[in-house]
Amino acid sequence: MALAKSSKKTGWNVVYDQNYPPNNTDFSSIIRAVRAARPEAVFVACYPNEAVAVMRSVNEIGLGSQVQIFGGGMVGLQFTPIMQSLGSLLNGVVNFNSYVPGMKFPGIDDFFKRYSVRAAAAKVDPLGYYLPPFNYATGQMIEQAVNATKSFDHKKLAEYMRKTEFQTIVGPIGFDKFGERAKPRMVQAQFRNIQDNNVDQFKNTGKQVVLWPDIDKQGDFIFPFDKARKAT
Amino acid sequence: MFSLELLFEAALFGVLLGCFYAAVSLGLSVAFGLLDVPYVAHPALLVMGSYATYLISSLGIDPLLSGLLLMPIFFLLGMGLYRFYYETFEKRGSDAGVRGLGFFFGIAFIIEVALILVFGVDQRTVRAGYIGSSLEIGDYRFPYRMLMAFAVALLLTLVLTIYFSKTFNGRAIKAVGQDESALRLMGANPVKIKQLAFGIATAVNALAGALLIIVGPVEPAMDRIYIGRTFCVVVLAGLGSMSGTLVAGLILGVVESVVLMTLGASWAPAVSFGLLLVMLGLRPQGLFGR
Repeated sequence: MALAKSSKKTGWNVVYDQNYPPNNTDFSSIIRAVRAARPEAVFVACYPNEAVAVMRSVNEIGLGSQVQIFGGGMVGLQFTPIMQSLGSLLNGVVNFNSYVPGMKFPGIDDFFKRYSVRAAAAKVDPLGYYLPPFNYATGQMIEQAVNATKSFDHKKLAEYMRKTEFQTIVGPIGFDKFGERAKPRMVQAQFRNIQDNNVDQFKNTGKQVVLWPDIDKQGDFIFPFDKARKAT
Repeated sequence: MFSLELLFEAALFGVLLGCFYAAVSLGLSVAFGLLDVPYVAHPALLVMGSYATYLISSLGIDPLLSGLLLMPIFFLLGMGLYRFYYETFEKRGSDAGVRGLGFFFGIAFIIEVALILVFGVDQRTVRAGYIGSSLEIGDYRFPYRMLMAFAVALLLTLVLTIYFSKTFNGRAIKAVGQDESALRLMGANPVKIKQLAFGIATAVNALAGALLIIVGPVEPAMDRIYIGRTFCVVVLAGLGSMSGTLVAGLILGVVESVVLMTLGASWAPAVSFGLLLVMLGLRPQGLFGR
C-alpha cells in the first residue's frame, strides 16, 4: 500500500509488489517472480531472519541484467555475523545503515576502541556499527539533559530535549515537532569488494561506500547491479 | 507477468522443495506413521540436528558430512527418548497417547529453550561450496543446496524402503505398528523393536537437520514452522509409507511453490494445513494408506 502511494508520487511504475510470511526460509520462488517482472530497481524490506535467505536466492536465481539497483531496507545486513556469513554475496547491494567506517563524528573512534574490547569479552557483535553508537548517544543525551536541568523529572527532561540539539558520537541530534530526528543521518551505502570469511575487512573504508545523503557521501553509485557486483 | 513458463519453473522448483519436505518428514513417518507415537518433538529434534551440524561444520567439516557423523549420536538419543517415554507413559495405560502428546510437546519446548540459552536467538548458517550458487540449464537455475536436498531425500527414501521391506528388523518394525500382540507371539520384543525404530527416526533427523541448515538459516523456534508441514506430509502419505512420504512431500512442495508464485507468498503457510484438511475429509487413510 505504502509502495503504491509513493510510486504515484514519484511516477515510478511498480511491476511487482509482494510481501512474505514471517520466518520464510526460502525466497527462490519470489525472486523468480521478481526476475520475470524485469524490474530496474528492486527494493527489499525485510528483517534479519530473512535477509540471508533473500541474498542467497538473489545470487542463485539472479535478477536480470536490467536491474540497476538492489537493496534499500534490509535489516540484518548491518550485523557482523550476517555480513560475515554472506561475504561476497553482499557486493553491489545498496542498503541503509546508521554508521559505516569513514563517517567522522567527535568521539566515535574512541567509542569503538573501547567497544571492541568489551564486545569481544561479552561475545556480542564484534564491530557493533549499527546500534551500539546510538545507544551510547542516547546515554549522552540523557547525561547532557540531566546536567543542564539539574533534575530527573521526566517532564523537565522531555521539555529540554525537545528544544535542544545534543552533541553526540553519532553527530548532532535534535528533534522536530513530531519527535523524529530533525536532521536525519541514516545513510544508503553500497557494498564493494567484499571477500568471503573476513570480518576485519568491514573495519576498512571503501567496503561500504556511502552514496546518500550528500553530507556523508563517500563515492559515486556504481550501476547496473551486475556491474556493481563485480566492481572492485 | 504471470506466464506458463514461470508456472513450469515454479513446478520444477516445487519438486526440489518437495524432496526437501520429504527428507525432513521421513523420521516422523517412522515414529508417528509406523509406531503411532505422537512424536511432536520431531521438528525440534530436526532443529537440534541443524545446530549440531552448525557446531561440527564450524570445525571445517562439510555440513552434510557433519549430519552423517551425527546420525549415530542421534540414534542413541532417540532410543533413550523412547525408553523414557515407554517407562513413564506407554507402559502405564491406554491414555498414553494423550499424555505422550504432552510429553513430546514438553521435550520440544525444552529443546527450543535450551537452544536459545546456548546459541541465542540469532540465526545460524553454514558455509559450503554448494550453498549460494546454482546449476544453470538454459534459462533455468537450480540452487545446488536444493539439488542436494533432492538427492538426499531420494537416497534416504530408497534406503528406508529397502530396510523396512527386506531386512528382519525392518519388517519387525512394520509388524509392531500393525499388530504388537502377534509380534510378541513370534518371540520378538515389541519394546526393543520400537526403541530401534525410534532410534532410526531420530538418526534420520540428524541428516535432515543438516539439510535444513544447508537449505536456509535456522533459529531455535523454527520447529514451529515445520510442525504443520511435516505432519501434513506424513498424513498425506498414509501413515508409515516411505515412498508415500516422498510423493506427499513432492505434492506439498509443488502446490506450495505454485501457490506462492500465483497467489502470493502470504498464502504459502496455509497450503500444508489446507492440504491436510482436504486429505482428512476425502481420504483419511492418506494416499498410500490402507
